[in-house]
Amino acid sequence: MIHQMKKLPVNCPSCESPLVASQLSCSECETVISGSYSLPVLLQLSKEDQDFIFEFILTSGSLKKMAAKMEKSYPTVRNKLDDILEKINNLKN
Amino acid sequence: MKTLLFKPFEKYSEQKLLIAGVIAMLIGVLFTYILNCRFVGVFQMIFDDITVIQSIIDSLIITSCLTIFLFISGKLIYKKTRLIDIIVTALVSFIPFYILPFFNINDTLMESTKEIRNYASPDMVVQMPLETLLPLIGFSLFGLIVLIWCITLLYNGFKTAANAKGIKAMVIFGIAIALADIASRYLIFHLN
Repeated sequence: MIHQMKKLPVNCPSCESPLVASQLSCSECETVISGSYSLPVLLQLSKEDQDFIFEFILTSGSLKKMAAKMEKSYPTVRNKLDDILEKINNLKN
Repeated sequence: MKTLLFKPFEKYSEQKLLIAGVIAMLIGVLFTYILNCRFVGVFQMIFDDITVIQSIIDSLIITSCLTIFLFISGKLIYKKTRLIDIIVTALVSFIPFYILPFFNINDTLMESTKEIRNYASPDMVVQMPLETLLPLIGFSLFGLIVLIWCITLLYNGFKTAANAKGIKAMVIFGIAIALADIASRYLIFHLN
């Protein structure tokens, strides 16, 4: 059986507003914490953008290595990174 | 295939694109010389006797004009624009134009144009046989397709090099290629 990783929803499917974590639980002792916790900025990015950042860290921040790994040109990868930075700045503000 | 024909700049490294562009330019220079064609601007080709040196200078002027104007425009939009990405855009986007000289094998179009000139009066024009016009009509239609292809390549290359988005970038791109065309026509007319 293939175990598929569940995608964390970050926006409300009804009104598109950013979601917050309102309940956290311990899988060992079943303690439940309720509250309202904003999701970290990186988690609010799309799965594709998160994967890109993950790869960026794995290649020690080398866009050239990333371009070779992704089979894309250097400016394409650089543009993608700049687009993600813009999204992060928008999310932070 | 779509990427190769219209968006090679997104996939292939600048080294590969530069090699492809330079080889294509050299082949293009050779065929424009053999087939008596001349690029006298970014978007203008004429049929004329030409020397190899003239053909090389024409190509260099056109590539330089495109590079200079697109690079300045790219820098205005995006500070990280690299010169090498603009050079490969100018070189690779011109490749489809090198198909056009093949329409003039055996001086077909040059002769056709000369023949049409013989009918260049209101009385004579109605007597012009359709066969005289056919090669030029075919060339014009194909030329239009090639022109659209080249502009698409130029824009996609510019978009990738300068991370260009939106209407403002399209307007700046339009002005840049128009200026490159005017400058290349002026330089080729006066220098070559």
